[in-house]
Amino acid sequence: MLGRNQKVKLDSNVVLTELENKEAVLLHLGTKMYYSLNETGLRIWQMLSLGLTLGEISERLQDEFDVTPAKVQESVNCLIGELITEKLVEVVDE
Amino acid sequence: MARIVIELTNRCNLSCTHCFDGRHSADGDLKIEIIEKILASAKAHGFDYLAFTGGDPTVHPRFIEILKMVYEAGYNFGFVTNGQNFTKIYGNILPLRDRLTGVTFSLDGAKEDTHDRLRGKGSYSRVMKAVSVCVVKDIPFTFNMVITSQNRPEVGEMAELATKLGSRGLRFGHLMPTPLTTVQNLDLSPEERREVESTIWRLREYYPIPIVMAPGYYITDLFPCAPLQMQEFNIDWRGNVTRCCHLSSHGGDVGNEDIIGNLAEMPFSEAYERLVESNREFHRRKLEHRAGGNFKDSHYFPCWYCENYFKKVDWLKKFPNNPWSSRVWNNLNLKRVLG
Repeated sequence: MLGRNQKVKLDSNVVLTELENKEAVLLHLGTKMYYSLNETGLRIWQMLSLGLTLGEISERLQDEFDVTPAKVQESVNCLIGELITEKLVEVVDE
Repeated sequence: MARIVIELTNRCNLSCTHCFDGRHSADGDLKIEIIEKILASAKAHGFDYLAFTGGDPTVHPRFIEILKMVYEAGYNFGFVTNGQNFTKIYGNILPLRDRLTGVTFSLDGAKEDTHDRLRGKGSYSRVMKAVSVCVVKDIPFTFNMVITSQNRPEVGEMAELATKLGSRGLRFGHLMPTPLTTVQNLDLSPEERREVESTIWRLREYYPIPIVMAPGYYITDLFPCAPLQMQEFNIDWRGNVTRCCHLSSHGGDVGNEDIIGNLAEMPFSEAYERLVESNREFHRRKLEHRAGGNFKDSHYFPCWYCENYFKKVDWLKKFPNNPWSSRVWNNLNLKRVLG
């Protein structure tokens, strides 16, 4: 379980391509695998690229989307977990 | 499928070290009136496919408008691009997708460093963004790699990369020597070309995607190219009908005997007939040349043959270290054989 103060780092081998419909594609140049991100996923990725902690990302998402804190927390943790599994990001030592 | 290759513009948004010298730094765009003339007449001459090149065709200020004209006229089409503009324009291309047979992206290295050294920093990443769009939006795409001394070791990795990225095919082509490629030692010798060709032919056995070479590889067939079979009709950004897109403006506009005529000055049908006649003459002369007994091994590289025939490489004589320099035709010999 990742803490609210946790930061993760984007893998430098990943290319992000934003699409016209506020969605995006990730291409991992190492594995040559593509991944799609929906609007929320793209926002999380953008905030990760700014170096925000998971707690800061959750707070911003609550402001931007009309969802409960619990739901936001769940969404962030779920996506970050998948990104870690696919080696698209890595946990930064606190 | 007979095709017309149209150089929409000689402008480009990159400045590649291996580009035809002096060709893609100007500001010339093909006029819409020429496009209209082509669309009105090409089908009647058996051409149902238009391929757009440049420069970079997406730089033409009316690129999307031209594609819509092509679409509405009922032609299938494709284009070759360096991919730098693709994420900005793809939205306008999606409605035309059912006539778009594919987008060919120039990728000159499997490795980012290799590609960017030839084409400029950040260009590899933008190609990767372009293909990401293609995969998500189901736009068929292929890669084209020009072989140089720098990327030659990566032809196998290119096949692997193209396959994994979802490319519908991979095409390799030999570099056309220029003063800049000569100074930077980018040109392969004839022997090195043959070696890399062997490697590429072997790759075809191992990968599921079509792997081909653009005309210009060693072949004993004297007339292997689509333009020589009237299966390809080339038009440059000035409206000139040319023998081949590879020859247009090559060699700093020194030799222009490859130009058949200009579509601003004649109907399409007249240009077509001139090309037929010109091809007939070229066939006759090349056959005579081989029968004359001094046909050399390097003459079986068809682009090299035409570069000499149309006097595009005389400048190479000033670069004795280039592996092709000693093979440039002597004009006196050419006169004796072909005159």
